[in-house]
Amino acid sequence: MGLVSVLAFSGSLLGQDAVQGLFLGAVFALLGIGVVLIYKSSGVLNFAHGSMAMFCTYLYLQLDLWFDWMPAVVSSLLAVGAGAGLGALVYRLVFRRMREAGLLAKVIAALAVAGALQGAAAFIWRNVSEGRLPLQFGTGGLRAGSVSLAWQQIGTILLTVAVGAGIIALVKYTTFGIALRATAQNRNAARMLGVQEDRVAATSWAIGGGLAALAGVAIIPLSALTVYSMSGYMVRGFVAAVVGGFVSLPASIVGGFGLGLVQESLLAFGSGFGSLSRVFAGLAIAVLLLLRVERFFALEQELRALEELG
Amino acid sequence: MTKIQDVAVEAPPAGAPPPRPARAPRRAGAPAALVAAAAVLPPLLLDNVWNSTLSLALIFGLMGLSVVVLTGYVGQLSLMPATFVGVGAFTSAGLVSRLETPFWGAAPLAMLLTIPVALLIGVIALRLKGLYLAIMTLVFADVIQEFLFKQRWYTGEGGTVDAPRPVLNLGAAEVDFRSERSFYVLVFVVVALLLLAVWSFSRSRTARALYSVRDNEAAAQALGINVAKYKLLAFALHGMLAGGAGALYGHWLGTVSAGGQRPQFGLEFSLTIVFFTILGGVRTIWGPILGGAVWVVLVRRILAGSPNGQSIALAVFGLLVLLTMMYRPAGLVGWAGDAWRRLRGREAAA
Repeated sequence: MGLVSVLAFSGSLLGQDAVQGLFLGAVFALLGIGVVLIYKSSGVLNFAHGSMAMFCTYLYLQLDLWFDWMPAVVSSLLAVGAGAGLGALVYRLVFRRMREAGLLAKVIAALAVAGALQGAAAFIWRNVSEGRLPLQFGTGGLRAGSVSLAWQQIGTILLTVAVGAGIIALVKYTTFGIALRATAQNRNAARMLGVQEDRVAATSWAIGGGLAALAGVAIIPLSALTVYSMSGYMVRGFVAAVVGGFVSLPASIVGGFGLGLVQESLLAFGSGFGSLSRVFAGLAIAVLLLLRVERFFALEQELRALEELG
Repeated sequence: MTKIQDVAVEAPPAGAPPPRPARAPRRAGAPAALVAAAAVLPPLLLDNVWNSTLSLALIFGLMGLSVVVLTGYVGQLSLMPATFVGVGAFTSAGLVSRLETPFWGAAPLAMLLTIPVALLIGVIALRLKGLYLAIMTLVFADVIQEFLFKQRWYTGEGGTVDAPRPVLNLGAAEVDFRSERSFYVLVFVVVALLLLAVWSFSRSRTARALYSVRDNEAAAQALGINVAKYKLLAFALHGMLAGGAGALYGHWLGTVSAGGQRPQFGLEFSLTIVFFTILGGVRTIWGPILGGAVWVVLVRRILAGSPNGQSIALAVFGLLVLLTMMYRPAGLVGWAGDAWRRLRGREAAA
């Protein structure tokens, strides 16, 4: 079977799959950035990330149904705003009260938030049949040789690179960023120096929620929206975050793009690789976790802070 | 209260005031009668639908018990109990309907065969800390769904296997477990025996080692406790109980299917199991029984008419679990214990 599959390999197919891989990778990266920010600021591995994205994507669909004259970009921005609000709200209502709780308790609480959002979405939008959602970057696209690129794909990839660079700059140069890094490395010292932990964490949750919504509205027009559709993306966002050891943003972005690229490129080797492509994220995360790859990307001090949390 | 009793058992030192008269020895009769009533009364008094609901509640309780031994006793979080339930269900159903094994051999065998699958995860878990382990199990649930639950030899043509209920042939008489009422009795006996086993295990020396690993791994290691060994043991128990529950669940369903777009034994099911266990109370054997009963009755009876009962229940349970984690991590059992103590206190004061 392997031999036949290799024979079925074709260059243009690989190119096409690679484009799709980068597109999906952009979505993984957007989710990964949010997971890292949230983890750094509040020590919560946000298992509700996919549900938050899903919920905001349904809001986007609802806005589109209510106001069909509204440009997709505007409703997308509104959905992203809602995501930011949702993130901040979840932090205020739940995780601010659980600051001193154990790791396991936080994980379970995040799962509970995910369940609540999932159940609520399934109930609120039970009668909404998902049509094709409007594309933010317009229909059509470019052709380069035998490879076609949709505007949606190009736009999402470029936007992700820009957003990623922006967030990295934010964390590197602004007061918020310095406060965030200080909190992640040494909570007590940061607190003593007057860092307002709650504010930093709420901001991070808001950014994370907004990016999750962005990832959702970007991918869903080319995919299908169900209550469960974002959890697979969330797991892959986790893989991206694991590459950066839950602390390094650049490594998470690279990890997201890399995962998307490899996962989709595998499809070019024939249908026998379909299953492998689908579980590639799982195998990747196993290898990454067992090799403790975060050692290469995260500062010694950050890792020690992580250990204390764990 | 128990403390006083414990002390009273030891011989009093000479010259000490005479011991208080020991409280009347607990009558074993009352609990035994209660258990017998729980086994016999539903089939006698309730209709088929209630009997089927109660069987499912007990089976779900058993699934939750698998979370208790892992999360409650050792503090490891597995987000794949439903996967092990699936392994148990497919194994038992396949053995019965395709290899013509009698149920009485197939179900225990399914339980045992789930252990190696769980140990595989456990071996990996040894190298991972809590948070990473949760991600890992999430991902492995996917891998098993994709590779094992799609194998024809395992899940049959079209991904469904029949799981007929057993008939016990006692030579002269035949006991038919195909009706809802008799199946309830069978489920009750199996779950009660497993509960008893876990209960007595929870008071053993081994279990105390598990608790020490949960409460402080470094300290446990310093005391010479083999952390790896006990974690693996907990994973084996987790898989075994979930597999056993799965075997019963399969025969309760009648046919076992992996599900298409939406996996039957996927994350949603796992979350459900984890949620009702935590809501009930994750450190006692009664937690999952109580939580599972609440879930099943809510979904199958109270919300049975609503097409979206499952999602409403999931949302409600999500909120309840949040409140549990924030205000009373011991869950419903802990809360009931508080209420009971308050009541007793008022009685004593009066």
